[in-house]
Amino acid sequence: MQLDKRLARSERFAWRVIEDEAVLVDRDEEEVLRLNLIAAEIWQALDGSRSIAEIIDQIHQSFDVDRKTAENDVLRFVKELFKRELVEEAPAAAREPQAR
Amino acid sequence: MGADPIENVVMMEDHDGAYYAWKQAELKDRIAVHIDAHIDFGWIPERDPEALLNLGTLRELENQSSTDSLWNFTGRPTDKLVDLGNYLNPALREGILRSVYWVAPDRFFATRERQAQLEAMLHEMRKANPRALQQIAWSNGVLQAELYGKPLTICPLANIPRFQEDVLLDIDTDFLIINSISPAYPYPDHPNPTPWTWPDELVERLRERGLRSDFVTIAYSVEGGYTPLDYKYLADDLASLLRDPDLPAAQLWLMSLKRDAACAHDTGKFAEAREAYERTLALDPDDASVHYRLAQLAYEQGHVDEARRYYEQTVTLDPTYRTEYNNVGPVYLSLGQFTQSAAEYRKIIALDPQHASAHRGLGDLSVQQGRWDEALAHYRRASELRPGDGLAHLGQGRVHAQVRNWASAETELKQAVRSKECEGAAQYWLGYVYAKQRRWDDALASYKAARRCRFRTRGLYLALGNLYLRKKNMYQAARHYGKAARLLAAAVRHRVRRLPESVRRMLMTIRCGDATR
Repeated sequence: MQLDKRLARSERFAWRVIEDEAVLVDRDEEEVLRLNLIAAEIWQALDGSRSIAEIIDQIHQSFDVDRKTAENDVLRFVKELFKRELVEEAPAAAREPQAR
Repeated sequence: MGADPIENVVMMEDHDGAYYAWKQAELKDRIAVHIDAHIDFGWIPERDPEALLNLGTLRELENQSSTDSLWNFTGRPTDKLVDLGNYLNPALREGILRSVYWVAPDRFFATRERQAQLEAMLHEMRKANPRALQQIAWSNGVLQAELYGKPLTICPLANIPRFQEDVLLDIDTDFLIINSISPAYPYPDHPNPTPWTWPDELVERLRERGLRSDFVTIAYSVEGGYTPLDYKYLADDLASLLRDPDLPAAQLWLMSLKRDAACAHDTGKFAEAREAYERTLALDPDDASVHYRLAQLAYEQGHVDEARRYYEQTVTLDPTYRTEYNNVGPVYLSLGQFTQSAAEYRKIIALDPQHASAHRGLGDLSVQQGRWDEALAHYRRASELRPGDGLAHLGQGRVHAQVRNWASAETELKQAVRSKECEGAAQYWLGYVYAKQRRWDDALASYKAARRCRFRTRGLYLALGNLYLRKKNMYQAARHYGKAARLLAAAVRHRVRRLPESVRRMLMTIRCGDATR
């Protein structure tokens, strides 16, 4: 997973944060999913405007973990979300201009 | 019952019409005596999962999500989820009913095994909604339970208690025909399903139990294959007997003649049957049911022209006789009895060459047998007779797909999708057509659309599993293969349950034998 990639939450979910956990309703899969505190933070950050590297920084700063641990956790979780089709690559419009 | 006339007798095709009739009459707090071969109090998956998002705490979320599994992921409003299999449920919860007696056919209680089947049906229901269905127990030959805190009693006619008030009598005509949970259940056994009891006998037995009713609902239940069209008229006979206990002797004589004719017909005594039918027609020339039976009889005796004349007369007198279920082709097809199904469809086409559903049914049969050209011709004919028939387009699309005519398949299937009649199946086949052309993204989109339409078959999950495997998404591949496997396991269990009793007993013996070795 490239760190400059921007991912956005799939629009097929209704979701809300309840007591620091994110609760997701997936009508297609007929499931209700719960994401814990850190996962919920990552989930909320996946709005298509931030790169994965930026999200890693955010987790590193918010949760008092070293950057390597934050990177491992975020990448592992984002890959999981990607596999489950909970997130998708952000459309170009949502991205900031790429520096060359 | 059978002594005083009942003014309110409401007739309907689908049995959920009873719920709407009760609502319209503003009935409250009543006892329903539901005389039927089927339960009709199935669950309604009505809990909106998005309501969970309005909860304030995780504890509330846990409590809410652990109580039952009746989530409505369809997004359809609850009142649109009421159907002929669950309408008693809202009637109880809305206070229309305070108690339900399900009077099932006598043979449902005939042996301990049958009784166990009934009890198992309730325990199976309870798994999905344990709080709503409780206290399941036998008592003096009747099965009792509490449904939403209100009494539910399952009993044969002989065990109906003596009520001290007028009840809502709710009858399904299929009760008269289906007498056991046979391999064909929920349909009646074929061929020649003859009533095990008749309207006058039923009314007499209800009278013996001292039953009184001020509001009766009667469902024909022909559409779907539950009451054979041959016996649709029994619902009307029942209604006549309940509305007027002092029916003129001539009308009672007519009922009796029709019964004799039907019994003779069903046991192959054609001459006797014909004579009785002709005598009834002499008394009532406008009885569509007799014209219909004579059409069948004439056909069975090889008099096709005469059969056609009787059939034309039938549908002129009562156009509801031109239904998809005016033959048992669809029922035989669903039971995998292709030869009998074909014979039924051919019979109805001989009687009614414009019968679009029968042409489509023959198309479905030809597909089962891999006769693609023939199938296409039948589907095309169905489309000509009923333009815009989504199922006929679906059929044509499937056939084109089988012979790898991708462009035509896509055109037909897109038309089927637009018809909305069979959108899920059409999307599934579109997915198949795209996948065969290696248009992977289109295939995935169509399969997902099929899933959104609730078309959730083993084939669909396998196809999705294969596509995800190709995309190297092992998680999703495994997940979909798992779903396919679970559906397969459920189908195998279902088949085992449908084995004839004698075979199941043998299996039991073999298992016992193994255990003692």
